[in-house]
Amino acid sequence: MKRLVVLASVLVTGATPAVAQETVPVSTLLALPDEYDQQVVTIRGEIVGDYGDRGDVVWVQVNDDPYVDEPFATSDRLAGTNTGLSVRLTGGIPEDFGDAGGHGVRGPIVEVTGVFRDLDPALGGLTFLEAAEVVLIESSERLPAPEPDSGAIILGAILLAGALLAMAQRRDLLPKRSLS
Amino acid sequence: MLLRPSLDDHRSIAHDLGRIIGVVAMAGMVPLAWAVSKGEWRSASHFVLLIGVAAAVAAAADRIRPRPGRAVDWSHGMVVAALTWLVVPAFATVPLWGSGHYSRWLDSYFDAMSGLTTTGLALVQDLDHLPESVNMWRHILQFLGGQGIVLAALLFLTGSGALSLFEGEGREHRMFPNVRTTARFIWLVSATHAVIGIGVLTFDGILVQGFTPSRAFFHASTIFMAAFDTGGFSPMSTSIAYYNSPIFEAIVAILMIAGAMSFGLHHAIWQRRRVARNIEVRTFAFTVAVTLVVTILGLALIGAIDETYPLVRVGLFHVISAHTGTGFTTVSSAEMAGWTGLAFGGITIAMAFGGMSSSTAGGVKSLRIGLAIRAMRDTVREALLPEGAVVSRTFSQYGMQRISPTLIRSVFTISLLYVGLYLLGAAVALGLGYDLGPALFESISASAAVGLSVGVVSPDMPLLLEIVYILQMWVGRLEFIAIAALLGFTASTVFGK
Repeated sequence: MKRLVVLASVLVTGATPAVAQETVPVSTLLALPDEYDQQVVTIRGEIVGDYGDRGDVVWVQVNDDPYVDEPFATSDRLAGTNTGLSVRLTGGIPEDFGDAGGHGVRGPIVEVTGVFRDLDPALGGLTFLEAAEVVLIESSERLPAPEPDSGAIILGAILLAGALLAMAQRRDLLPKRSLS
Repeated sequence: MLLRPSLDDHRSIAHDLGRIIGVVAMAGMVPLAWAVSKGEWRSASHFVLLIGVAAAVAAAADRIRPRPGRAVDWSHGMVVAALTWLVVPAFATVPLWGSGHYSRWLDSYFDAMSGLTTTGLALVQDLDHLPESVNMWRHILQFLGGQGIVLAALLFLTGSGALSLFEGEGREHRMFPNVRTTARFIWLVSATHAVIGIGVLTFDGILVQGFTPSRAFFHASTIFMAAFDTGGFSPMSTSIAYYNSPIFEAIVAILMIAGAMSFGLHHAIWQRRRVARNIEVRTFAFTVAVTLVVTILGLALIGAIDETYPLVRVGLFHVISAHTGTGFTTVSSAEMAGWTGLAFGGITIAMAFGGMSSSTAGGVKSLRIGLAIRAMRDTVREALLPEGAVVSRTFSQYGMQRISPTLIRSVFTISLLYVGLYLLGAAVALGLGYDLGPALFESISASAAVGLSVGVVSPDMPLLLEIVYILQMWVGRLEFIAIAALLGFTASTVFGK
């Protein structure tokens, strides 16, 4: 179920209230920053890393790469490097978003509409999206943890034991066995 | 006539190499503990394998010893240093490749080489979902490589080979007569910086960034290792842009500069000696200032940033990152690719110059640039002064030193070899269809162990280019001499009598 989370940044930043529009890929924003600078855009993606909660604002990274729809942990398919953009939110993160994405976690999938700011002079040259609206599409989800590699453990343990034994023997650390 | 090395030569090299690989086994304990604490069991199993394999090789090599009383010569140390940087990345790939975040094994070897040489170029895919322990391992590789894995081994190693091993790693200046004491001092300096750096970054993470304590410590540890060892890996795909904080950038910039300082300079500062006349300090300050002005002017001219504060902040951070050979960035590679003209020139020249000698930075190095400038200036002065006038040929570096013809020959030879290395990678990329600008940028970035990228380095780059960049990172880190020794040793083994 989609839930609309209207954040107070509209009031704070004076940004144009979001208008429903097509999402723009983050790679396009980064490749054509001059074209989109100060424009209201919508991006859709996964919140990854951390919620940088600084009291008045929360900084998050939203990735819109192929791993949003096909997490590597479940698909086992690699699709290149990540593509993400910093998003500045005002008003906090609702609890139902869940954990940010990382190993074993697919972060909340969101649609963020706001003003794209390229090398923003007001914030000392940061490039980010000043969020006006955030729509939670899917809450964060725990992904199945990969099984331990038992072969690697057994082989590693045997080799390590052998190495320690050999080194101990080399340095005469092992008790001498009596011949009698 | 080439003399074929004896079996004893091979035995002594294998023995020392094995000891260094033993350091890898010990280093693997840290990410193993991290993996266990985070419940990353699959990664933990790969770290157990890494430790087991490295320990077994070290134990086997321990049994291979040259005949007692046989001295380890200079070339052995060089060969061991060169082989270390080829072999250790292969061991380091065990957890990287095991994570499944690489398309092919060579990509994981590329990242391991990049980490160990403190370059920072990366081919890992979906970094933002990589297990924390594997991410930590990437950064530990930078720490090991930056401090010098050979140097780590020297703490446990004795014998006449120690000095050549030390020099083989691209270090020239010993602070103490004893190499082991020097190694201890370098690790003491690093540990002190680690405590302060990680502490400050953790506090910043909790109090300013708003991270949880555990995540703040994770970010602080990884960023410290990448900054102080001028590596440039970052735990998140957006590098330092992830942190959106001028305070964080300032702390990181200080750590990058500390990392690019020679350990001799650290020693002088610790002893409260004056360093303002030091040729490296002067040259580094001068070249940073020049490339900063050029870059800022370039960014202003292309209209990338209009206002002064962000212009200086972005320009300064990237010039420091490039000049120290770190490779952190606050903009995307797509955006950086748009920095043409003077901005491109400023960043590229800063990368090519590099940090100070006997530091964790790569590139031509400030000492050589300073000496080259001094030699040219003296030649001009000599030509202008009356016949018979004496031109003083000295420079200040931990006391006054004489500029000898041998020293100048060595300076120009190594500098020219670096230029050749930069051009070689650029030529290969050009041949594969890349434009000159990105081809040159990426080649210098790989050779000078920087890690900034305008997008050429990616998981779908041509295999040939990937191999060339691996070789450039290796050769650039070891500064040619150790590689020449290895090639000579190999040729003697094959063709010698």
